[in-house]
Amino acid sequence: MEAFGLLLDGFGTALQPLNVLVVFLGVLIGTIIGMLPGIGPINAIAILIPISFALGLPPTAMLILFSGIYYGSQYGNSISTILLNVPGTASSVATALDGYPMARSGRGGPALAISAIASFIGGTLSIFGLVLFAPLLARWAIRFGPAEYFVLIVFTFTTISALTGRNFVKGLAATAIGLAIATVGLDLTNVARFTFGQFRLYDGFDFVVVTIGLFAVSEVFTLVEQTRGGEATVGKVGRVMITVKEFVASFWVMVRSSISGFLVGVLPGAGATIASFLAYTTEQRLVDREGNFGKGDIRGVAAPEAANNASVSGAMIPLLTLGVPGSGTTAVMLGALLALNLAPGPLFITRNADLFWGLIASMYIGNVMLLVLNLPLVGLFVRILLIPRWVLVPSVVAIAYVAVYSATSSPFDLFAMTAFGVLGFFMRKLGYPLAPVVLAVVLGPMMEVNLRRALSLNNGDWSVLIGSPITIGLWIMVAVSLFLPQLLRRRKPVAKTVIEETDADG
Amino acid sequence: MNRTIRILLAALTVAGLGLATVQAQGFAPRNVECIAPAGAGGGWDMICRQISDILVQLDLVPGAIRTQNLVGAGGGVAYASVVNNQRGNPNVIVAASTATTSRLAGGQFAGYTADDVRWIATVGADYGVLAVSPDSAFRNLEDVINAWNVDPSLVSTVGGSAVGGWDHLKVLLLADAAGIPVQQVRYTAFDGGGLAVIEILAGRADVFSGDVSEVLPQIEAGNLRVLTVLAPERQEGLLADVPTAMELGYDVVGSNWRGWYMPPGIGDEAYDWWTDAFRQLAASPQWQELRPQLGLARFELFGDDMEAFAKDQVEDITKLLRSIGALQ
Amino acid sequence: MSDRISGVVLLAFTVWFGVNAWSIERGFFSDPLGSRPFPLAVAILMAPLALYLVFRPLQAPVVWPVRSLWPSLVLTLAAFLLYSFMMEPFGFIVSNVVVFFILSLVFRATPLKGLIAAVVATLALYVLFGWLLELYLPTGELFEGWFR
Repeated sequence: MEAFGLLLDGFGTALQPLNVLVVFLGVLIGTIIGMLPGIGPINAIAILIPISFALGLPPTAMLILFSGIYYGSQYGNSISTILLNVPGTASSVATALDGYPMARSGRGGPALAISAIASFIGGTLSIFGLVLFAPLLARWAIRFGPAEYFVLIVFTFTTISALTGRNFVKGLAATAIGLAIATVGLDLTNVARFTFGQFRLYDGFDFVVVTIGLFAVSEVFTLVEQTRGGEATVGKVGRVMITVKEFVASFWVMVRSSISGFLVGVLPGAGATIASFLAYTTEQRLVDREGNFGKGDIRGVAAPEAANNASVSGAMIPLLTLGVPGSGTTAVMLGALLALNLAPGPLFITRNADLFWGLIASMYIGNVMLLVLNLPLVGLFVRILLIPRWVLVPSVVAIAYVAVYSATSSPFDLFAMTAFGVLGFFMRKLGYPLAPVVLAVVLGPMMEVNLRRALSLNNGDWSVLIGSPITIGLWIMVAVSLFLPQLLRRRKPVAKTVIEETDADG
Repeated sequence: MNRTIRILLAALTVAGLGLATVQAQGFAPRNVECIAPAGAGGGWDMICRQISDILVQLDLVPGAIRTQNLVGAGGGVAYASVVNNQRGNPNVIVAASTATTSRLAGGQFAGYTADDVRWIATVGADYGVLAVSPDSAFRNLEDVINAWNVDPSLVSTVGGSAVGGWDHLKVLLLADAAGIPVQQVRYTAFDGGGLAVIEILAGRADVFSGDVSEVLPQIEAGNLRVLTVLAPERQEGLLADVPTAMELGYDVVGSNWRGWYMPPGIGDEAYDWWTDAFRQLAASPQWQELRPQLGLARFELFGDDMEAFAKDQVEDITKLLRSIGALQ
Repeated sequence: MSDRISGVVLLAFTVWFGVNAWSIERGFFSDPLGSRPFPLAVAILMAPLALYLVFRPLQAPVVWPVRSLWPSLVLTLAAFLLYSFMMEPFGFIVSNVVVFFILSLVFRATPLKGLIAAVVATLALYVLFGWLLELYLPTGELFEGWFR
């Protein structure tokens, strides 16, 4: 096949000493940045753009560096998510659901190991997808308009029962609270909603503020409660590696999640968050017969990690083939490409074949490096859990607060983060799940905005919502997702009682 | 603030760091900050970081320039903060563009006006364009305006800025110049020009409102056809055949400039110093090289000229918004 | 009981949210749907959930913190709030040392250990964020006058 020949040439480019060095630096910086809650790869790339210009790095090396940082940060982020329950981005919230319980119970090592492996599988499988289907998928991405996005988000919401834990009503209430939080700020037509004349509220609440507040800040209160028991550390360190059995159990979960994650990643603007949540909720429904998801099931870590890394390569497709960034970080990379006089767009791949295939090959190499770098370090990373609480907890708090402050220079954001921490603490106490809040904060605005755009483009005609094969297909998925579990449950009454029993002690 | 604490701290600072030197005659910048009123990676942020490097390379500013992302309300938070908290600080420059002036005109900065800051310079501009799909029924600008004349709701326009933002205003300015009731002109906002272009490619929208830099790669690939450029004169290269709106008889120029303002109350010495610094920046080979890469056309105004230009632009947009009833 | 109270709080919030949502007006340049329906839909979704929790509380046992822990919890909250209020007037270094110190005491460090950790961690973070990542760290309005 022609593509593989070109890929081979790409490896020639990517294996040049400078490029190998640069991809190594990229994934290393990315991993470190990703570990720091609240910073994100955008900052690192924005800072490095002028520096790499000054250093006179060739365009290929620059692009390799930036994408290395991008997918490296996804790896790194899972470390703080799993060990400390500090998801630095919305896309790693799903990883926290099972990763943190694993870390608390002394299985932080296997959780990190499976996250590295899942990320590797997600990363590499999606690179094959990129090689084989880039032009085809670019056309698919174009056909995804506001109406299609709207139905996709409706579909994502129908899977939310997988996140609601033991109590569906409280899960829905948490979703509604998230949607309410999401309405704050200027809307699509510049109308200020729930801002009470306060400037600081015009942009609404950033999901980093909501996520870190709900998860990390409330976690600190929970840890304070446990100081009475005299535990000196946050978690225990047990076995470091995963067993063959765990790997086998997760294998197909990772493959399926990689594929779905890649496909969602291709859609500009949908991105890693939908990818990781969809993978988690789908696998919960597919494989979780014992009701272990949410309590420290290794497959619950494998699914979102494979998906969100797969979505990273997916997001490169709209960037390179259409010149449209699919996420915040690819938007920054777009800026870098433009500044390099390499306007991405429909002709990008043909015109810059060397660069494109070199980049793809470097992503492959980068993923191998991340696996080689991360697996042996798992033993070291879990030792973070051995740091005394009186050093570890204040450090995490300081990193999170400083990162959030420096992103916006807004003390108000720090205040809001604290308020969300208090809210999160009470919600936990009362048995409300937190993940639906974050999902709703991210998806709520997308749902409203895409519905309004669809209607606006179609002059107010609602038929646009069933106006294409994609929308109709998605509506069928919505119906299946809503009614199939009920049908299955009715047929198998035994399974139902099992679920209820395990729920009661969750 | 407590006076005693201040004095104490002052004493400590002097003793410990010896930084409190007597200000010499004339102005010399120190610890310069560039405020980007939006997040890292955005247009304002890039301008701050790229320019900072050049200013330092040219030895105009000592040390390094710190970039502060002061995010909120489309630049409104930074504007209010600069007016209130940075008054008289000659070591702060704030990235600005047409987005700043159009929001000022729309009264979106909580009652602050263009007179509240010192406009210092612009060093490049991106001109507005209207574009359609190559197989669109609209062959030229006249076709669009005829359709608008029949029924404004026949044409759906899309762009990358919010409603009332610059991409929207360009459409309105043009429609207004053609005598169309602008409130009925349809516009759908997307998060960035790229996503709006997709709507054109997919045939879900008719007309794209954006800037030259956004459409060049798409024209090359044959994905977009430009109907008009909102520039004072013809562009070169790919857009050489495209008439300006002026040529077509509509008195509209839409330049999305990139520049800076400074806090109010800074001395004339500092203002003159910065005016000159930006003049040198604009003339530097580094900027000459970077400007086209950023997709910007040559557009340079400094000091008082910039003050006048920014205020005029605000006034023009205010006038439009008033005449259509969007502003009281 | 806790569930019922959370239901009442949610109901009160729903009413407040719904009333505010109703008062949202169309923008001058509006779209077919307008700005009001979505927030209203959220209120309409929330109302039956809140009512359900009020009238059919789920009786899940809630373990509230024992009284002896309250001072620690309040101190923790105070530390978080201090961070928000101190960051701009006092700058990163002072606020971080103070907040770090308080939190380490909450987690049972001895005062000396806590102070050393606070100072070392603050300097480390300053190097990492301020120098390596070039993030913006406030100097503190109190000190700023002396750097101009």
